[in-house]
Amino acid sequence: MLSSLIQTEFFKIRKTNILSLVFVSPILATMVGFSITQIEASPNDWVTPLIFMTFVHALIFLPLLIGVFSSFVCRYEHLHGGWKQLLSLPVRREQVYLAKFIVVISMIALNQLLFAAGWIGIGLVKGFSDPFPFEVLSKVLMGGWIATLPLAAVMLWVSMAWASFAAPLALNVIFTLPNILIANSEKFAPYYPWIQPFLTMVPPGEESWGALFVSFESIVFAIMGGFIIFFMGGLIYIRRKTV
Amino acid sequence: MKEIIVQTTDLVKKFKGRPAVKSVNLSIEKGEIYGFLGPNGAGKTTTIRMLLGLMKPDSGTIELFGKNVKRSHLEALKKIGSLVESPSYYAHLTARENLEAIRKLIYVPKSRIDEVLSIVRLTEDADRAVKGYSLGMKQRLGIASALLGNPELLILDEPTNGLDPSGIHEIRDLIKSMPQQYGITVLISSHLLSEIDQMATKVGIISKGEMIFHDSIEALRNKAQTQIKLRVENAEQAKNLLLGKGFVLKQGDNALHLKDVRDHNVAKVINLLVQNGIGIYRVEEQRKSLEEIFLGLTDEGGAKHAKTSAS
Ligand SMILES: Nc1ncnc2c1ncn2[C@@H]1O[C@H](COP(=O)(O)OP(=O)(O)O)[C@@H](O)[C@H]1O
Ligand SMILES: [Mg+2]
Repeated sequence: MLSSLIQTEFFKIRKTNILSLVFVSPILATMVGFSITQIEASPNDWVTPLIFMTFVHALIFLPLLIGVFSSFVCRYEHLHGGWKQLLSLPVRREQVYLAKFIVVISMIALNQLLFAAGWIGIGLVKGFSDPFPFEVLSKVLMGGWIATLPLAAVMLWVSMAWASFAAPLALNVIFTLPNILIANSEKFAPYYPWIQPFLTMVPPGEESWGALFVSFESIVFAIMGGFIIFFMGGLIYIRRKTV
Repeated sequence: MKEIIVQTTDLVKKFKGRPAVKSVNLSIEKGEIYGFLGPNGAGKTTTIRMLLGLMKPDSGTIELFGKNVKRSHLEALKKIGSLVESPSYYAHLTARENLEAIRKLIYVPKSRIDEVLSIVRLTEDADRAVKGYSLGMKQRLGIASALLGNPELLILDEPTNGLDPSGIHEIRDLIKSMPQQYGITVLISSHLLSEIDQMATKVGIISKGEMIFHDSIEALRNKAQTQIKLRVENAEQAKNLLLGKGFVLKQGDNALHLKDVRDHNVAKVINLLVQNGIGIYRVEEQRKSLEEIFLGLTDEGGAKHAKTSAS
């Protein structure tokens, strides 16, 4: 049942251009990462481009993209009575939400992979001699991706509830823009869901290079806590949704 | 007794305290074409939404295929095909793709898509994006979607909206053939009696959220009262004369309307008028049409009916 629902979701977006958006921020980030000159003090050639790339990709683009994807997979249900048709089929409502959630986070995963590919590409073209930091790669990819889960859950919840395509996007922009300020705030950053992808992806200082990028509290409170709350909220919402 | 497919008991739904459906009791037997009739805003769609689990009733129970669906609609929905209010579709997909998006979830063979497309005569346009469709074509697609899963119960909410007369005719024939050909039970709603009249075996009339009639279409016809309409020289004098003799009648519409239509009664009245020198211009039998009965039953229609008969 769940796999059919996921297939149907991909079938419905197959003929749209939405997937092309996954290229935007990896390409921009790679261009920036490529044009940057190495920082002398860098412990490893691979670090400098990653820092700059993460600023471009994870601070603003990535959170915004999550909103766009979430709103998009609800848009065609809102437009011409899709919800009432879908929910009067023999499907479990929770699985409808889960299927859309999986589609959104799959697109984000693809986005992360392209970002990583850009990063590796820069190193290969420039011929970095330092050993490739595989541990960092997995943290950037997986950590960044896991940090997007609470955002995907909450944006999907809002997108299901609001029939407008633009309203959830506007809300997402409002919560994403403060990232620029919150990134510098030790006090708020660990608890602000929209900044978590950035925090998990960017190395904060030389000492912790290669170690866990985010503090333990940050992961526990903002990512896990946020994910549980938002995901449950979305589930409860769709169970009760009146169409 | 025949198997009951749909049974609701005291179904109630309020919107912000205002009741849209008040204590609705539906009972639909297997193989029936049940006409769910009522003026706009009567509560038909709201009732249907509750039947499909799209909306939860405030109180009352729903049994589908003999099982209470309070906890889960899932099993019942496997056997139901539906079209609720305006047709639902994904505009950027073709009709075939729209059906495929549903088919993946209900596990019927791919060949069924071609079957339902041909049933609703959309085969030729099947590979065009639905956004270019006329309302009638979208409606056909909605009916095709409802039929896709070979349902045991077909729920169609005003399915002929937006169809032209020939389209209405086709859909009507299609619906009529359902119970005989496939043993399907049909619940079809409409605000037009004429439509229901021609296909339904049972009728339920809802008005302002309340069921005001629930029986066979013949029983509805039997509610049709006949009257004798008399146009006479001096209506006022005639009325007083007849009332004085104990006849039941009403004045209106420039004529007298006699309730008791038995031959000997009519003969007596005419005789009396002639004896008193009141000229008789016309004596007509008037039978209310089914439409008038329906309009008379539903309040909103009542006002309209008064207007038409006064003109
Ligand atoms: N979602 C809703 N919110 C508020 N009122 C509603 C809603 N849906 C229906 N109503 C009201 O409930 C009543 C019944 O509506 P409906 O079931 O659509 O009637 P019908 O299908 O018979 O035309 C109407 O007065 C309508 O305005
Ligand atoms: Mg309606």
